Amino acid sequence: MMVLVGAGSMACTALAQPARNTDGFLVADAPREWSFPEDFGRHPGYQIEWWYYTGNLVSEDGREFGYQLTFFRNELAPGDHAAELMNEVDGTHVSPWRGGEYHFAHFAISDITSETFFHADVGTRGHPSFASAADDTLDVHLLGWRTFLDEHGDIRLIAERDGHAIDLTATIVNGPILHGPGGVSPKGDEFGQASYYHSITRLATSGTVTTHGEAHEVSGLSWMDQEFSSNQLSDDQTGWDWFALHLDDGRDVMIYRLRDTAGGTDYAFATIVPSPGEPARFTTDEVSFEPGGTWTSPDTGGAYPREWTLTVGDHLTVVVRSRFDGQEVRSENTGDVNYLEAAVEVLNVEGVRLGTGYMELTGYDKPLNERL
Amino acid sequence: MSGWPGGRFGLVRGLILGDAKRHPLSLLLTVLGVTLGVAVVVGVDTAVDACTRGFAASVRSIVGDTSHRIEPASGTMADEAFAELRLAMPDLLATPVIDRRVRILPLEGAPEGEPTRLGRIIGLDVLSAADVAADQGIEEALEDASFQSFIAEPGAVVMVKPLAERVGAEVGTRLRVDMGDAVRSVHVVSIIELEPPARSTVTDLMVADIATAQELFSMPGHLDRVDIAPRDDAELEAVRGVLPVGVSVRTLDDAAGAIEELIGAYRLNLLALSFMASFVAVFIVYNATLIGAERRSGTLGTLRCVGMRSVGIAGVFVIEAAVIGLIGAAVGVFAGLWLASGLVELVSATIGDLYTRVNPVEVSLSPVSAAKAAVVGLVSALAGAAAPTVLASRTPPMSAFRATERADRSWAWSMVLALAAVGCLALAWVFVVWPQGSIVGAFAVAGFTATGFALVALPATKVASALASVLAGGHRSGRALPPLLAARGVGRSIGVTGVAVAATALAMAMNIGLLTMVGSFRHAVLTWLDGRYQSDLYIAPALALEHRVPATLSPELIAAVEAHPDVAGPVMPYRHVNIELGGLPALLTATDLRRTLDGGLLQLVDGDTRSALDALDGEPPGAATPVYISQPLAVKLGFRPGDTISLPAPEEPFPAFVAGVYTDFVADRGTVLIDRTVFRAVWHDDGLNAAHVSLEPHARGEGAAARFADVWGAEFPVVVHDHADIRSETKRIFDRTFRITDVLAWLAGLVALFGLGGAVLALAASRTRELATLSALGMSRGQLLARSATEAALLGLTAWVLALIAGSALAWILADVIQYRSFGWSFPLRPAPVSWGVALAFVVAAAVVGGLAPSLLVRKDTLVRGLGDE
Amino acid sequence: MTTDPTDAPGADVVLESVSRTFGRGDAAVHALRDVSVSFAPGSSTAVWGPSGSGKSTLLHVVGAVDVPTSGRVVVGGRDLAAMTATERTVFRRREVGFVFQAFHLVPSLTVFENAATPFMLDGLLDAERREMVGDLLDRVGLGDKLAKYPDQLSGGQRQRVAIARAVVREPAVVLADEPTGNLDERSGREILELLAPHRARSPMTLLVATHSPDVRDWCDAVVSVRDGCVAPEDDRREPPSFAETLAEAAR
Repeated sequence: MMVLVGAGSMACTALAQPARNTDGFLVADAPREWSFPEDFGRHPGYQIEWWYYTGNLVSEDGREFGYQLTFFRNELAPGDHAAELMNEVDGTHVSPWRGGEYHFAHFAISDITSETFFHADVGTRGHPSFASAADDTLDVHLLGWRTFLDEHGDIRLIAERDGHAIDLTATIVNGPILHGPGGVSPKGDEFGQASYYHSITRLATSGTVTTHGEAHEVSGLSWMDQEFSSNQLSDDQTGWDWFALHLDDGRDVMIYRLRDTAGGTDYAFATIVPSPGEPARFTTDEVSFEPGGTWTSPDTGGAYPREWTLTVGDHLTVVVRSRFDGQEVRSENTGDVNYLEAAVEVLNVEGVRLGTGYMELTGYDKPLNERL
Repeated sequence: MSGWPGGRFGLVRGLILGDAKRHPLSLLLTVLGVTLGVAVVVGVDTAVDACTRGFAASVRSIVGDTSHRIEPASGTMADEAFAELRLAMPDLLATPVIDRRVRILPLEGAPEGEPTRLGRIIGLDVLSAADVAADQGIEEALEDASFQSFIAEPGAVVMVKPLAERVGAEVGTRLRVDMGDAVRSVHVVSIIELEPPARSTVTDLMVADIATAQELFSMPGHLDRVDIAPRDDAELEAVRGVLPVGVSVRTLDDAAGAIEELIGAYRLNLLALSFMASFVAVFIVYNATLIGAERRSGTLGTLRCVGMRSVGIAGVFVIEAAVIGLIGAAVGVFAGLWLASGLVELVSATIGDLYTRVNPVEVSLSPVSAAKAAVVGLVSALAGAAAPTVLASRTPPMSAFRATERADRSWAWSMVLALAAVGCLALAWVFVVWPQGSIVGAFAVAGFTATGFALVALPATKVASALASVLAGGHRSGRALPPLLAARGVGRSIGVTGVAVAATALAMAMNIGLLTMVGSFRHAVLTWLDGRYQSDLYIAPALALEHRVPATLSPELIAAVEAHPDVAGPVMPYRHVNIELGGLPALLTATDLRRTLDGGLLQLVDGDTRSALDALDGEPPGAATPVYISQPLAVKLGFRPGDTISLPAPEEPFPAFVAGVYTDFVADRGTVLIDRTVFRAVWHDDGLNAAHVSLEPHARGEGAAARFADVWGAEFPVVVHDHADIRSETKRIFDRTFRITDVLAWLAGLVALFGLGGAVLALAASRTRELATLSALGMSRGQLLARSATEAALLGLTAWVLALIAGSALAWILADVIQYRSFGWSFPLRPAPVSWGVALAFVVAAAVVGGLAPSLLVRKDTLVRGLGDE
Repeated sequence: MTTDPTDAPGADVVLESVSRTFGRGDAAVHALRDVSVSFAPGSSTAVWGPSGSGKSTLLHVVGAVDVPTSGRVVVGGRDLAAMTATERTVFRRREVGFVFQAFHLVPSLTVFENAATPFMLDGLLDAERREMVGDLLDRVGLGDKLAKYPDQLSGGQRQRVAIARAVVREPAVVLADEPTGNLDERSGREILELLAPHRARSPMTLLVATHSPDVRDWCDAVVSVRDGCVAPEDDRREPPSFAETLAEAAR
C-alpha cells in the first residue's frame, strides 16, 4: 500500500520512509494528498480508522429521530506489513483472517419524540467476507451492517438489530472537506499526535428509520467523518468533546476539544464550513467551551454536561443542548467504552433555534486514555 | 456391641485377637486377599479415571470459560458460520477454533534417533476469546511485540512450557511440524505456563492465531468448530435456534463423554478383571474364615456351652470379617493407587491405539473410588465369611461329634443343587433365545451360566468323589488307603470341596473362555485383514500412523505416486469422515466402490455386489446411491440389504440404499462405505486419509515399502507400509488391547491355587484328630501328603473338566452373545488348547500346594494334641 | 484270665528315668517326672491315676506317639529314642495297637475299612487278611455292619471297631487310653472282655490308662501315676473324687 504524501512544508521528510510510532504504525505527521473516492477506502498501516455518521431526521408526520452509525477498523499489527509477511505463506493457503484487523461498529437511534434511546454494538476479527473495508472506495461492512457508495454516487447506510434499523440514502451536499492542511488534524503537541481527518459535513438524507419494528419514512441532514491515526490521545488527555452542527443558515460547524486531567481544554479546534465557500479553521485560543447542567448516567456513573455554550472567535456563539437525557452508548461487546452520543439542537444565546446537530462527549465515566 | 455383656465381649475379643495372635499368617493372608480384590478394583478404576479425566481436561482446560462447542456433523465448517452466529448473537462469547494434533519433528542438529513428538495446535481468535485467553495467561504472554508477531506473522505460535522443554524450543526457535499432509515451519513467539489444572494436563499445546492455524493446516476459510460460553440456558437455546444446517451444539461434557462411549468395549475387559479380582477376594476370605472356624470349633463349642447364642457366634465372625474387610480396603486403596500408576500407561496406550490420544492426569483417588474400595472390601469380606459364619454359628455346645462326623447329607444337597444348576442353565438359555437380545440380557446369560456351573460344581464333586472311591477300591486292592481316604473325604465335605471346585472351575472357565474368544477373534481379524488388504503398498500420513491422529494426504503426493513408473494404475483411495448415524458415531468411508467390489475386498455377511454395481452403472436410471455397511453398525441399527438410509451431508440429508453388510473389525465405530465419486460431489471433500497402491510386477517384493518410503517420504510426511507391516501392527495393537487377559489368567491361577490349596487346608484343619489318629496308627508323612495331594488333584481335575465345559460355553457367550450384541462382531470360535494346558498346569500346581498344605498344620505337638479328648 | 504270658510273650516295656515336659519356663508342665517302670511281656497293667496325672503321656511315649524330653523307652528290646521318625511310624503301625476313649474312628471309612486300616497302611490287605478282619469283626458282634460308617453306630459299637483295629494286626503292645470312659458300665466291661480272647491267641503287653476301679481290677497289675510320678506299686487307692480333682486343679 502506497501512501502518497502531498505537497507541504514537511514533504521532504516523507520522501524516504513514512514515519512510524514505536509499535510500527504509521503516524499522521505530514499533509498528504487526497483523492476521492479512493480515500473513502481503508488506510492500512494506521492503528485505528473510523467511518462515522450522525444525523437528525424527521418523519412526514413530524416525528424526530437522531441516529449514529460508526464503523471502526483497528489494526492489531501494522497492516501495511501484512502483504510482505504473507509472502511467507504458500499463496493458496492465505487465511482470510490474516489481515490482522479488528472491526467493530456502534449503532444508535435517538427517538427524540418519545425520548427513548437504542444502541447496539458488534465486533469481530477482520475477514473479507463479513468484516472489511474496501481499499479504494467507500464500502465498509461488518456482519450485515454496511456503508457504501451506490451507483449514483450517493452514500448508503444500512444497520439493523432487534427491530431497530436504518436504511438511508445520503446525497453529498457539502464535502469532503479536510480539517487542516493536507488533512492533518492535530490533537496535541506530541510527535504524531494527530489524525488524518476529513468530513462530508452535509448529507441530504432520506430513507427509513425503524424503531421497535415500526418503520418511519424520514428525511433530514447527516454528517460523515472519516479519520485515521495511530496515537490520538496523550497521557494527560482524558477525553474529548466533539460537536457537529448543521445551521439553518447553511453553515456546517465542527468543534472539538481534548480535555486535560483537570477537565479544561488541552487542545481545541474548530472548522466552519460556509455554504458555499472555503472552510475556516480555528485552534485552541479561538475556541471556548462552557458546559451547563449535568445528567448522570445510572449505568456508568458518567456525569455528562447537558448543554454547552460554544464560542469560535467572533464568528460564532451558540448554545448546544441535548434533545433528551440518556443518549449514552455503552459498547459492552467492543471495548467497553462509554460515551454520550446525543442529538442536539442549536440555539442562539436568546434561545432561538439555529439548527440541529450531534455532540459526542467521551471520558466522563472514566478517563478515555486508559481505555484506548 | 450392647448385645454382649461386658464379660462376654472380652471372650469375643479373645476369640478374635487370640486367634489372630496365634495364626498371624492366616490373618495376613485373609487381609491380603481382600487387599488384592480392592487393589485391582481401585487400580483399574483409578487408571481409567485418570485417562478419561485427562481426556476431559484436554477438552476443557484451554477453552476455559467456554462450555459448549458448535461443531459440524462432519468435516469442517466455513468461517461464515461463525459470522452468522456473531451477527445473530453479538453478545455471545464465541471464538472460532481449529484444534488438531501435529507431529513435531526433531530440531535440526538433534541427535540421531530423537523421536518425533506429538503436539497439539489450537488456533483461535484471542480477541473473540479475550476472557479465555486471559484465563490461561495467554494474553499476558502476548504483550507488546509478541502480540503483533502472533497476529501478523505466519507460523507464529505460543508454546506451553512443558512442550518447549521437551522439544528444546525457546522464543524465536523455528520448528518443523508435520501437519498431516505437509511439513510446515512454525516459530515460537512466546512460551507460557498455563494456570492449574491445565498446567499439568495440557503439556503438548501450541496456541496459534486462527489465521495462522488455517494456513498451517491448509484450510483457509474453514474452522473445526466454534467454542462458545452461553451465559444461561436461554442464550444456549437461542444459539440452537440460529445454527446453520449440519452444525450442532455439544457441551464439553458431551465431548469428554464421547471417550467414555468409545472405550466402552475396552472397559468391558477391565470390568471382567475387577470382577475376577473381587471374586478371588471373596474366595480367599471364604477359605480363611472356614479354616478359622474349624480351628476354633472347640472354643466355639465351649462358648455355646456357657450360653452364647448362635447369633453371638455369628456376630463374632461378622465383626472379624468387617474388620478384615476394612483393613484390606485401606491397604488395598494404596496398593490400588500403586497398581494404577503402572496400569495407567497400559490403559492410555491401548486407548491411544484403539481410539484417540489421551494424556492421563496424575493418578489420584476419587471419593467414589475410595467408597468403592470400602464397599468392595466390606462386601467381599462379608460375602466370603457368610457361609462359614453360618456353619460356625451352628456349632453344637461341646459336641462330641465334629462337623465331619455328623451324618452325611451331602447326597441330598447335591440333588437340590443339581436341580438348581439345571434351572440356572435353562434360564441362561431363555436369555439366549430371547428375541430382543440386549447387552444386559447378554450379561444375564453369562451370569446364569456361571451360576449354573458354580452350582453344578457341588454335585459334580460328589460324583467325582464317588467315582474315585470306586477306583481307589479300598479293601479290594488293599493298597490304596491314601487315595481312598482322599476320595471319600472330598465327597463327605462338599461344603468345603464343592465350593473350592466351583470357584476354581469358574476362574479357569473364565480364563479358557476369554482365551478362546480372544484367540478366535484374533484369527478372524487376521484372516479378514488378509482379505481386505490385497494391494502392494499402503500409504498414510505419518501423523495418522504414529499418533492415530486423523490427517489427510497431500494431493501433490497422490499425483506423485500415480505418476511413478512402478505404480500400476491409480491408487485405491480412502477417505474417512466422522458422521452420526441413528444416534451412533460412525465412519463414512469413501473409496472406489467398484474396484472394491470387483476385487472381492469385502467379506459380505449379507447382500450382494450385483445391485451396487448396477446402480454405479446407472442401472436402472436414477437408481439410488448404494452403500455397504459394516456388520457392527448393521447389527446395532438393524440395517438390512435393501433398506434406505439417510446420511448426514453438508447441505441436506443424503439418501442411499444398503446394498450389503460386510465383516469389519477395523474400528470402534461402524463404517458406511460409499463410492468416492458420489462423496466428492455431495460432501465437497477431496481429501484422502490413506491410499492403497498396486505396483507393476517387476517392482514388487521385499523392500518395496522401504524403497518407496525413501522416494515419497523425503518430500511428504508419509509412511509407506506393506502387507507384513500392517499385519504386525494389527497384531501388536490387538495383543496390547487384550494384554489385560494375561492378568486374568494369573488371577484365575491364583483362584485355583488358593481355592484348591485352601480347601485341602480347610479339610485338614477340620480333621486334626483324624490326622492324629491315622498318624498314631502308623500312617506315614508321605501317606498323609499323598492323601492331601490326591484330594487336591481330585478337586483340581473335577474343576478342570468343569472348566473345559463351562469355558467353552463362556467362550461362546463372549463371542456370539456379548461381542455380537455389544459390538456387532461375529466370528467362528476356535478351540484354544493352550488355555486348557494352562488350566491343567494350575491344577497340577494346586495339587502340589494342596498336598503340602496339611504339613503347615501338622506340627510336633499336633499328634498329641489331636489325640486328646479336649 | 486264661492268658499265659510265658507261652507267647509280648514285648517287654521298660521306661528308664523318663521325663516329659510341655512348654518352657514358668509355663512348663511336667507330665512325667523321672519315671522308671517296666512292664512284663504279655502282662496287662492298669495305669491308674486321676485326670492330668500323666497317664496318657505315659501311654504316648510307650506308643512312640510322643518322645520323652529325657530318659529311655525300650520296647521289646528296642530303644524308641534311637529310632528315626519313619521307624517310629512303622513301629506304631506294626507293633502298637491303640484304643482311645473317644474311639477315633475315621468317619469316611466303613467299619470294615476302619478295622482293616493297619493292614491297608502297609498295603497288605490280601484275601486271607480280609477274612481275618471279617472274622474278627464277626467275633466282636459287628458281622452285619461291615459296610456301615461310624456315624451309623452306637458308642459301644464304635469302640468294638476301635478294639478290632487295635488288635487286628496282633501287635506286641496294645495301649488303651480310658477305653471305657465314654461308655456305660456294662459296655465298658464287655469291651474289656473282648480283649481277652486275643490275648489268649496272641499274647500282647496291655497297658490300660484308667481311673475306673472296674478296669483296674480286671488287669494283672497296677501302676499308679500321680503328678507325673509313679507311685508305690500297691497304691490301689480309690481315684480322687471330682471334688478333689477340682481342688487339686485349683491349687
